[in-house]
Amino acid sequence: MKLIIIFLNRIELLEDLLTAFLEIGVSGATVLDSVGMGRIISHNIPIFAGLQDAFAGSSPGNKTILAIVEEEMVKQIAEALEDVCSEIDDPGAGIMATVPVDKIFGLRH
Amino acid sequence: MRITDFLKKECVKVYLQGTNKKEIINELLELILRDNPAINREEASRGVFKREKIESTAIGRGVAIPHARIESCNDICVAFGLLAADVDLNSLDSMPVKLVFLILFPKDKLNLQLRFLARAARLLQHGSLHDALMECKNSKAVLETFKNYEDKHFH
Repeated sequence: MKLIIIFLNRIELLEDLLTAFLEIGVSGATVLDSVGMGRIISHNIPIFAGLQDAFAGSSPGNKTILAIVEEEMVKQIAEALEDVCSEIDDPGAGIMATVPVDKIFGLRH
Repeated sequence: MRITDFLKKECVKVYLQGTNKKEIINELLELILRDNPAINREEASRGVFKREKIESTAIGRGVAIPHARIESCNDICVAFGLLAADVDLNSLDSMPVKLVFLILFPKDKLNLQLRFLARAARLLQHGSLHDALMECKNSKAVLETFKNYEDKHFH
């Protein structure tokens, strides 16, 4: 099993991505409201205020998606993410990482 | 990344004579231009004052770090000055400014700017460094104080 972590910087893609999840067979995921570091430093830390132009494309918030999936689904999820994100010209639209999971508790089939 | 790798003795002034933001920035800019003649004065000045309009770089605790990212600069250029008199630079904590860094960054090196600004801001948060710098009587002493402090607190 793997824990997948997706940082979705273009939140308008969320519905497409979750629909793709269902298609693959991922029936559960946790979606968190989150904020990118660039946004925070350029808007909240005064010395970095000059970088607001550099982060002009950053949205006020992004989404962090967590899901525990079968290892063989990871490739399909990565491809789905790529496919969904290819609709827009933004190399940082969605970023995914995976972490090995050694034990899971509380999951009922 | 160390401040003292970029700060040269010729670009340190004890004490700055300016009595307002414009004079102080121009005084420090003059030091950088003397050491880096390839930098476009107009571009640098415009960039620094444009940045000041977004929000004051007088970040509090007596410190101001005016800066800009410009095309005519190939590497980080830094000037530093101590102020003998209290000067109001629209500081975020309304306290008078005593220590001023002017920094020019190459336009295409955003990461360099982030790292250097972060180091300068963190370094200058140390009250004991302020006290030590305010004791300095010349640029050599300022450089040694920065170097000693970075050696001791940042590895």
